[in-house]
Amino acid sequence: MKMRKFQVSLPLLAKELAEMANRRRTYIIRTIYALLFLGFVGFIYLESISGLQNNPMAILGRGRQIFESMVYLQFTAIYLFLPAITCSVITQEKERNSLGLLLITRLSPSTIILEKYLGRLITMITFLMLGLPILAFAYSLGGVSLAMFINALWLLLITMLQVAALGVLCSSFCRTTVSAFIATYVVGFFMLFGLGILYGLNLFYFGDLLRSISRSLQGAPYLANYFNRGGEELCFIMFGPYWFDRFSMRGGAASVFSVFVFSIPIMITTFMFLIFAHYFLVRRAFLPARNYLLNLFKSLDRVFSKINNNRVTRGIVLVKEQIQLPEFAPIAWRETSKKSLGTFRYLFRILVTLEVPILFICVLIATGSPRPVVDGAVILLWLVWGLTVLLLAVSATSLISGERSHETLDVLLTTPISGKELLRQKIAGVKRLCLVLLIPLLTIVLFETWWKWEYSYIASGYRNEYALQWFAYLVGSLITLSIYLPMLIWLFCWIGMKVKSQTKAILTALGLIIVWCILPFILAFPIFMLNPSFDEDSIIYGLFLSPASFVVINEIAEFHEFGTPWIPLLVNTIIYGGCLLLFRSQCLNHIDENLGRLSDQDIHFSRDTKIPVSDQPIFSSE
Amino acid sequence: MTVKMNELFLSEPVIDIQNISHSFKGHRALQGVSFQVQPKSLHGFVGPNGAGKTTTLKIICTLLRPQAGKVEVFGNDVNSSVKEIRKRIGFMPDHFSTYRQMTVYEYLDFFGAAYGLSLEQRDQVINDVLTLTDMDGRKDSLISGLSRGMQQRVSLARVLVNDPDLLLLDEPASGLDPRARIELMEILQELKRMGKTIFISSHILSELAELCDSVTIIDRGKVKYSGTMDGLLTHEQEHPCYKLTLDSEVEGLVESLASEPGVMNVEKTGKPRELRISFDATLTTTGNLLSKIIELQGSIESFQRDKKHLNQAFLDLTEQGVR
Repeated sequence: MKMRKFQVSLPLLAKELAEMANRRRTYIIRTIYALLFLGFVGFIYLESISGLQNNPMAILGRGRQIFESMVYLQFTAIYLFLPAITCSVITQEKERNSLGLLLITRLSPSTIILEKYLGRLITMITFLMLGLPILAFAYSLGGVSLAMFINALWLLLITMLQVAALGVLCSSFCRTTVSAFIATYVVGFFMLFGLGILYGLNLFYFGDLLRSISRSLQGAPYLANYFNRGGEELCFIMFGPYWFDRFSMRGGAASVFSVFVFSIPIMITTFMFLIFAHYFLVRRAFLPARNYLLNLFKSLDRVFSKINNNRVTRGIVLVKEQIQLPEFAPIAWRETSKKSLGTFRYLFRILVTLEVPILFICVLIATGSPRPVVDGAVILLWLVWGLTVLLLAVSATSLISGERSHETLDVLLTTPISGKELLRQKIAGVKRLCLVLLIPLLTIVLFETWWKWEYSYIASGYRNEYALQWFAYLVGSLITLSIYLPMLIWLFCWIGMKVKSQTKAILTALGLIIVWCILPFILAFPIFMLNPSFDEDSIIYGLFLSPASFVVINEIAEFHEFGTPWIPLLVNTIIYGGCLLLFRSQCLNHIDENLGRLSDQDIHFSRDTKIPVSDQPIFSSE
Repeated sequence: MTVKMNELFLSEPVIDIQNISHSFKGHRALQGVSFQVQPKSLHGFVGPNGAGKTTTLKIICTLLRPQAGKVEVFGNDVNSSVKEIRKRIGFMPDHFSTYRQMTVYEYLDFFGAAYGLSLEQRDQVINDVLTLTDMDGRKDSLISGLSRGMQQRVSLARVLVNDPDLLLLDEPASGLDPRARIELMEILQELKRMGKTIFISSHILSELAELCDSVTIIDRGKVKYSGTMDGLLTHEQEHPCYKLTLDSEVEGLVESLASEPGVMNVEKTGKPRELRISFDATLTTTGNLLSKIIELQGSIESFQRDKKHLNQAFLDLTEQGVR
């Protein structure tokens, strides 16, 4: 009998790679990534040689700076892009109803997970490989030890494995790509920085606890040299760049060994993520469509009802909610009485859930922080801002794209309701949500204002004079809130109208806001690198092209570069006030066109209008 | 109320489409499409996948602007009288476009309000349409809990909420089981009796043949036929064709009939004791043929005009090939 040759068959991986290769965007994204990456390296290189005109040979031995920048860039790329690349790996199959077909083939669940995992890793590796020649170039310049080179590659590799495994786990657990996308970033954020935040705030004496653990670990024979930063190491135990930073200065085999030892937790989590992804693959393969938000609210309802049913309150109902049929505005009625994020009852739950811990934490922080800028409150405000953006992105982009995805839009568009009226009613629920989210934001802002005001009496000679300017802080915060929130609603609405599917619309909205926030900083970096003698004052206002800039500067009261808080506030107000008007007009002026129907305005077309036609036969659906 | 066909084509058309064209990214979805739909008629719109049916429907219901040509609905141009048209039409797309987390009553009330009806009017109208669609007992049920057939009825009830003069139905019977399909067709017949004009796009040809007064067949963006259903089923037949069914076999009957003057063709249909006979009406008559059959001791079970089946007409008019 003829023996068959041993063949390695990875059909799913082959399919993943073929799909990737067939997408035009694969090549576009890769090219953009390469250009950005090489551009950065070029700027860093130019900066390195800028002071060496007289002796170009002096560049030798200075490869370290380029190398380190490159490695940190690669880490950033992994943390930013890999979750987005991997989070759809299983959910895509679930959304296409093709996971069941995969499961009835001879492929085992572990093969499916591993091949899918490998497919996405290869995608990321193709991105990272673009940097290899540059790493080699930096290495050839000298100044980079072999240990540093090995450590960098090792840490990049295991970080990539860890983040990809987390993405696969979230994808295996969640039903939709949107929920997997959000889950991957949120879980990833808390995995990397959650302990650090708790440690920094020393909430519930967590910092003290870590410090005592660190002290006890110092007694261990090998670990004594590494646990000398008061517990900081334990906070960033999952964070690859931290360990690269710790060990990049050291050389020799000991450094490589140390990096390997301290990367064991990362490897363990990677392994655990894959085990859990495998566990959930079949168990959560055929999930019915669930409204997680609604379920969350229902469980909150049960908790609140339980709390309310006590001897004192005896289940008292302060506001009785009555669902009445719509009088004149049916779409607004549906948005505010039939959707989880628009209903008064659930919005009140969100408010209580956010407001009570915020008040509690504010008090806790205030009692332990004798400075005008309260770190805890600042972080809290940013977290609530993040939550606000997330909730607004989900709710506002879904207004139209949700109707389109559920195929209910066409019917609505054939009613005589005008486009503007339709959008005005649609937005009613999001406005309510926005008002509810405004309350915790205002709470923190007012708390900080009060704290600065109190502090201005007791410490008039504080080194950061802007930290005591409570009025400027209050005005800046209020104006920012009053502009940013409607601006975000209109922007997300517009994205929801332009992007056809709800999932893509939400991901686009979140991606766009992240890029918008960080891009000006990234762009500013090469400008300074290219010309270090550049007059910073002339482009410092360019940072306000990021909406996050003013929020950050106002919170940490860093107005030294500007000399006053009022001019930055004015610049920011003009930029984002303009954006608000622009997004609003984009939504309203082309509303019918964006919705996909004829406008109410009279537009006549000539009967003789010629249309561009091709001679090709039609093989497409209408 | 049954509308006679000759009366039907004398009145002003409800839908008047003249030479419309539409392209998507270089693909010609519609090329010079023209047809009319008469008032109070049930007009079938048939075509293979990718023929341009949905594009045409979207243009009629003001969701898409024709890039060339003219479309009038109730005499209103779709480019300029959008609001007037929207008030008088009811559109049912080819998918269940319902809000699943609403009850049937809430859903219908929602659309009643969207059409500007007052609360009292809405209550009256909703009860009427629920009775018409036989959904009285389910008005407080959540739509998500209803079967596909029931959901389709809810969609139909929704279309009727604003009492439209023209119903535009895109594949209303797709995905329904036979019973639900039959019940839906009965409702459509009832609506036709009530004087509504119904424009129905469907793939289920047998049902269209029974229901429709007129039909338009479209293929690859071009109209292949538009006119009465009878005209479609009999056109291209030069000589009258009849089907004869006998109680029992008669030896030599086929040969004897074939030798009769004026008889063009006699053939067995494939069914037991059934023959198809075509003849030149100028040379002989059905009376002569029947006399001959009786003379040959044939016991007649039935003798009727043989119409071409809609399936065959559809296949004859449309081109082969995957779209």
